Amino acid sequence: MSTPLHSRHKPSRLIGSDKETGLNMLAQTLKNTLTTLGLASVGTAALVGAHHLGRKQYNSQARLTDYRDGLRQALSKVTAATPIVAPSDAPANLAQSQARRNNSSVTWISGVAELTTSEFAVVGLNAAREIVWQSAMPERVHDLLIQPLASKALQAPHVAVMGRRPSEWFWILDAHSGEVVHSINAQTDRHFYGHACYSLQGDLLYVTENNTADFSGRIGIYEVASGYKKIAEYASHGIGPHEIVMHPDGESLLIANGGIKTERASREELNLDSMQPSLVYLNRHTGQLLQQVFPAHNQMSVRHLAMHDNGSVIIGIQFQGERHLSVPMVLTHRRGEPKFTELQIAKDDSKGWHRFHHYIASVAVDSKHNLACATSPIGGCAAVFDLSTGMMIGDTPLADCAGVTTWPSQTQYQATQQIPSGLPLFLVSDGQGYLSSIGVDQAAYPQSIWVEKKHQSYAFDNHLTTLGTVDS
Amino acid sequence: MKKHQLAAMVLSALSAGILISCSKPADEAQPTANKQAADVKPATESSETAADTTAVKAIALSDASAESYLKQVADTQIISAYKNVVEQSQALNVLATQSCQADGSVAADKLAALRAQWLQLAKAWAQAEIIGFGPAMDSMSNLYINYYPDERGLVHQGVIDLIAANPNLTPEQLASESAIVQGIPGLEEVLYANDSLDKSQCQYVISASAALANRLDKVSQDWQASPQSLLSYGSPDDNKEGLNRWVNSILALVETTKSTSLDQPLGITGNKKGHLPADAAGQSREIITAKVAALNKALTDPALVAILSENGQDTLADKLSTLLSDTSTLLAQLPEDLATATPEQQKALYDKLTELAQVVKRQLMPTLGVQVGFNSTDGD
Repeated sequence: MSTPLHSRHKPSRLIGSDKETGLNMLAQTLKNTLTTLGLASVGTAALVGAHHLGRKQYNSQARLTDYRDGLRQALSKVTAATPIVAPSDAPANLAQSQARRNNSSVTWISGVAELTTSEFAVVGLNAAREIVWQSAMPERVHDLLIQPLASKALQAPHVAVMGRRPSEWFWILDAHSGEVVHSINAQTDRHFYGHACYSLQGDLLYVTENNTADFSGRIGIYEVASGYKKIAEYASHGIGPHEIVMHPDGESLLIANGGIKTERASREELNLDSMQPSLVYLNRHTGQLLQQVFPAHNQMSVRHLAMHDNGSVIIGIQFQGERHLSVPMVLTHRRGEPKFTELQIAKDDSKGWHRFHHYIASVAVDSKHNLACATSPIGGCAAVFDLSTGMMIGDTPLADCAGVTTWPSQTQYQATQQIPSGLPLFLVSDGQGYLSSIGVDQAAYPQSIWVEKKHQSYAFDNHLTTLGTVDS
Repeated sequence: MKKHQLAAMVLSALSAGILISCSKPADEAQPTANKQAADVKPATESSETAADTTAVKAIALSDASAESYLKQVADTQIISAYKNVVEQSQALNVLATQSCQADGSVAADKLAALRAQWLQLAKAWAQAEIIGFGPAMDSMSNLYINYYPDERGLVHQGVIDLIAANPNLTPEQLASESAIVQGIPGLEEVLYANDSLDKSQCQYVISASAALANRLDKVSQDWQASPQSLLSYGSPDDNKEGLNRWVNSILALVETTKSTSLDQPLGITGNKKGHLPADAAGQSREIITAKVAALNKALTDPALVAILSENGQDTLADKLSTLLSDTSTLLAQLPEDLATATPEQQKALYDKLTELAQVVKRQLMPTLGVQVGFNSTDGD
């Protein structure tokens, strides 16, 4: 039997030279440590200084404080977002906490930003379009996805928050509180491309990614049960996959391959002449390509999708071609059809498709009423289309609008002003801080749309997601 | 080598490596500001560092003050700008009609007068471009007035083909043609690519200037009829929206001038793309000067200065005034064709506009309680 370690130690009481030797050793160790730290500091300063001088050659605004700021930024990513609960009338300081909970139900979730101070956050909104919770984010975010749950009574669904393309991060939040549950870093040679979708069971998250080595589009598959560990990857069969949605059959994925090679640092498009966007249907279990559809013009970048319950998909286009050309900006497709179907604008409408300035930021579909809504921040408008006739019902000016989603039918509506008739069908968010309810005036002939706005002190980012109603 | 020296080397390498790798995002973010579409609105993230970002408290701007200011903006900055550009287009049309009267052609001496009037028109439009919303901008109709930038050189061949196919082109016929053969660039092409004008070219100048005058007059009439709804003022909500719209539009002109009109064509921060404004005429400095003049008028507007002054923001008003004055002085020292300026001169002008954008975005807008928009520049 071995002797216990402590029994090998000398008695604690030291005498004469032993004590002196001990003190000498301690002093020597201290000296060595200080020398090491001193030399390390000098070495670090020398290396960073040399690097800084190099940076100054091509970036006149480079400062030594960039290193400190960069370290802070990196640390904030590692620790991810700090949950912040703020009242709806709190000042728009996204980085500071307000210790007050708004005890109401979360109906929508959106990314927000304060660009003057480069602060970013995700907010939960209630049916009154007020902020319920707010979680600071280390970078600008893009799409937000709600995890479907088999039993909503058991736990809060996750909210997957995707970093703005190209990003190396996405975060998983608790939908009730906004608290960050997981921070997921992209694997080497991969960037996240702003969108994702859950399987209908909520057990897998499919993420659009870019292979930075060869610009090929990828679909990363992340397992919820293992804390969003990446378990597989498929080819997206195109360049620049952006939005991805799950088909209502639960078996196939729809991917919008934008077709554009984008340089990370400058976001410069590298292949506008040769780009080839497409809509792709994939078997979600095997990654097998089921169908690929190409738009009529190779510069009609297929970017945003909204899935109708009947299996058709609404597609928002961003046109990269010559500005004087007029191309359809909102299309539909159903698997098996050989080509896209263009939605229509009345021939006597002089604004035509140019009203969108070649840019659709987001699309949403109301399956119950068979309506679709498309937003254009550059065009400064949102438009509603009747999917039964394929015609645009009307549009409304909304500066810098981008996010669009549906109003849950069971949600109580609190209008800020008199509305013509009916209930709101869509909610549109914009960079000016407005959350605008849009409805269709069924009593009017021909049908027209109405809009009713509520203002918040935030710039709402590109996408808005309906959560339904979750008690916080 | 002693152990502690070895340890120091390892620690140095590690800590320096971490710090250097952490500095990369800032480096990579640098060129982001340079990405600006031709017709987009305010910038998103930019090369502007967050160093000068301090919490700016919004002033308490009363509804009456906001409405009064916006009404004044509509009258003295928007409607007057459109009236001027209508007058200049009509003057070109009158001059072209007179010049072409004798035998339907124009000799070199008269062409110079036409070119001079074209430049007045181009400068007037450059000033009106501060109004980035309303009927001139809706549905990309501004392309029919100024198809810029013409990155693929479509205007040149388009106008040649159009004139060849339609030697007796009427304003009505032209109005239904593509945007690339209309407006200021089409006129610039014919007036500057030729030493004299033949009959069909003369007819094109008459028709193109008439069609442009008609289009601009419609815009001007719309603004005169409905300034309140087009700018948005009257009720508290409308005033807030109108102030957002106007100040974001000012910022957009700063951003597009620095990116689309300077940085991209000159390749100041990246690869060259597009061309300078009034490139064929070699008058890019005049166009940029006109834009800066419009910015100066908007940002040193006595009504705006009074609002800032009443709220203890004289320093901000002075800063804007000084920056614009410095920019104008700098421009005056440059050659007519900015492509012939030295890279240092080009960079100095670009830096001045960057500085102006920073002050507008980080100080003026928060002071006025205006939200900086961003979705329109996203590219996502």
